Amino acid sequence: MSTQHDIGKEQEVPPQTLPSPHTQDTLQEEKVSPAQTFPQPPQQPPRPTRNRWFVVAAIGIVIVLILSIGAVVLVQSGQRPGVKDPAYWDPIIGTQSGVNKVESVSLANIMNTSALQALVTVRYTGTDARLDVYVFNNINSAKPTQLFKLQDLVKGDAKISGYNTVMTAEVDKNSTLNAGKSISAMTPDLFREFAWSASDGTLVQAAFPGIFPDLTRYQAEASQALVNQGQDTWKNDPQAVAKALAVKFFGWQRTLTTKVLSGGGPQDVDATVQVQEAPMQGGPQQSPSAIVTLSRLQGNTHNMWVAIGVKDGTALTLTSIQPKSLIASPVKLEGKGSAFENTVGMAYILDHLYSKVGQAIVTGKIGPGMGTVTYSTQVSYDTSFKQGPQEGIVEVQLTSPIEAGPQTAVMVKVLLDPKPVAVLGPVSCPVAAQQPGYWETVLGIDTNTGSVGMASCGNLKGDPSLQALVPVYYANGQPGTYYVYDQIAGANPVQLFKLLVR
Amino acid sequence: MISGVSTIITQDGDLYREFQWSRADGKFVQVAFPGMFPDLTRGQAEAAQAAVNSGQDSWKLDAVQTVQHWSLIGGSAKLVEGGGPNDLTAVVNVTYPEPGSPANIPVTRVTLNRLEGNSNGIWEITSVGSDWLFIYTPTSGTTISSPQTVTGFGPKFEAQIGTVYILDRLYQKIQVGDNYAMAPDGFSPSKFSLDLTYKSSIKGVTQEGLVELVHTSGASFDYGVVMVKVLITG
Repeated sequence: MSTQHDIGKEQEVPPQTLPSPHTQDTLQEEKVSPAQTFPQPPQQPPRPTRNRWFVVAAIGIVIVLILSIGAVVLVQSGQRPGVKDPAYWDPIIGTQSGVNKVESVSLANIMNTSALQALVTVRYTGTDARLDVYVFNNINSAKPTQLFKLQDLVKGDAKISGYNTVMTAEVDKNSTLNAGKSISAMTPDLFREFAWSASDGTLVQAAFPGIFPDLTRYQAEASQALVNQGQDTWKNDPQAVAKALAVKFFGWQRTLTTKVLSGGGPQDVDATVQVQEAPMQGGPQQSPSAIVTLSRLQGNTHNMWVAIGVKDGTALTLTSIQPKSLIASPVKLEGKGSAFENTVGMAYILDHLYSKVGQAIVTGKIGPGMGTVTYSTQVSYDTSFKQGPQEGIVEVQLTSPIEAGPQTAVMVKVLLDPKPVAVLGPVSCPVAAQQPGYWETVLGIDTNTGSVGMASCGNLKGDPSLQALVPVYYANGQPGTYYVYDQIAGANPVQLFKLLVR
Repeated sequence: MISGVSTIITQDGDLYREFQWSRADGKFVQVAFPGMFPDLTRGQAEAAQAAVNSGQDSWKLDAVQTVQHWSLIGGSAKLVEGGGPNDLTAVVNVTYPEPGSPANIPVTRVTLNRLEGNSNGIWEITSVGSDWLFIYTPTSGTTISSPQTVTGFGPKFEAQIGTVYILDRLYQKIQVGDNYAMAPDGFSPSKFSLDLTYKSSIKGVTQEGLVELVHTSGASFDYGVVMVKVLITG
């Protein structure tokens, strides 16, 4: 029923026309030497003696000649071993000795045709171990065609996925995991995936459908390898995955029960699982619950389960976000939800580490404010990685006035564009700027004589930059002054406007 | 608060103001909401929209009814353009017929726009004009100060083209002294120019308001109104 489910299913079906991953061929620089491939000819002709050593030498020469002719034939037929050799690509890419060097070459059907393409990685010397990533077509020609180039991946890695996409790993220096650390202590935490686009004529970033336990294909394939070794075998159980998701994202503390609504068997590649938290003692008997849709990784019945979406049966919808779509800040979230005093709940934008990089209170737009209402809210977010989109999640939680955790939730997988856009109307403020304490510090407010109200934000200058309108109240609660600040994501917001109330 | 068009709207008692970023000035400047009725300011209009969304004042979703609710216009209203559920603009012609009045009586043309270009938005009157009665200055959206020269054009009746009013944020008439727009010569229609003094109730503050020219004559059907939205300095 869910489009999320269907899309995930399409994504994770094994490739029908593509060769298996075993067609890939990756060689490390240390493993192959050109000198070993092509034997040198003898330095001097053998002397004409009649002993058996002459015969042995003659046979040896013949063998060498045969091997040499074979090598020439191989080169002429396009199968020369040099293509797989990292050193082969150094002059093509133009690496500089002592600066950078081709590190690996992987061959695969990246363009979904019968021809092979080469994924070539170039490693730089230096403490940040930067990596450049190239994909070439026409790899046997004198001048291979460059299809794709991605540069400066700190402590980077790149490899071919089971779907013949290119997966990369790198350090996000400003992420919550790495910020403030030395390069040597930083961990690669940003994973991206690039798939061939015939219409664009290059590889374009794509979203892995999964949201949990892995947000990216790079991580998921690594997890699968561990599961194959007998670790984390709970990932082979869709109910266990759904339950773990509920604990991680909803913070449900009471007893959790699960019910498989569809699929989930040994021969299934899809599953729908309802997770339910026990009702609060003395509270309403309606249990918090959510429906988790899952797919097996790469549509393989031997593979682990990956949650690809969360939805709700009745009380909450999110209609404005398509799974795996590219979104930009601020993103408009629209749908319907069950409201109490016009409040539906909270909306979150989660980044590649599941960190909350945007949040907003979700309130009803039209209606009496109780029961089912429509909502529309524009949520701004600010990602730490600015060099390109990253995988993330849009989540809307339905909350109740008596529970800390959500009653239910909707989660959709997205690509988060780091470049903001300008929109009309109020948008949510950056997470830190939503706290009155933040503005008390900026404004130097003495909380004995005044207080800061809830700031609201918008693209007030008509460009993608965000400004905050900050109300300050007197001690008696009456409005005192309105301020507008610019550069609110920085350490030192700049005051643009001040209006004293009469 | 921040409006639906990314301006700052403030409320200070019954005073609503709107400020917009000016790229040229590098600062926020006060601006005039284009609406005249049922709301004179964006702050009031957005509050009215919220009330309509919750089921109140549904007449504000009907262009003709919106015109009919404004006592400053009155007359007989007829929708002549737009005004449908998917329209963002509407034009309503207003006349003041009486038994025995001629077929071609003066028409006051009222233009309405949906609030913030939203097809679910309430109607706001944004222009009241005609093809026979005009206010040339001040122009729409400008800031006026007392005394203000008002110029225009229209037919005269007994040397008088009409009466000019300045209405504040509460639609109260705040002009002081002579407010007759007189024809300077014997021709009709004719241009006029009038220096008008007003007295704002709030000193040192700029508020949204209207400049209104009302034409009357001996016949009740020979009636017309034109209005211009302005910012009034205190």
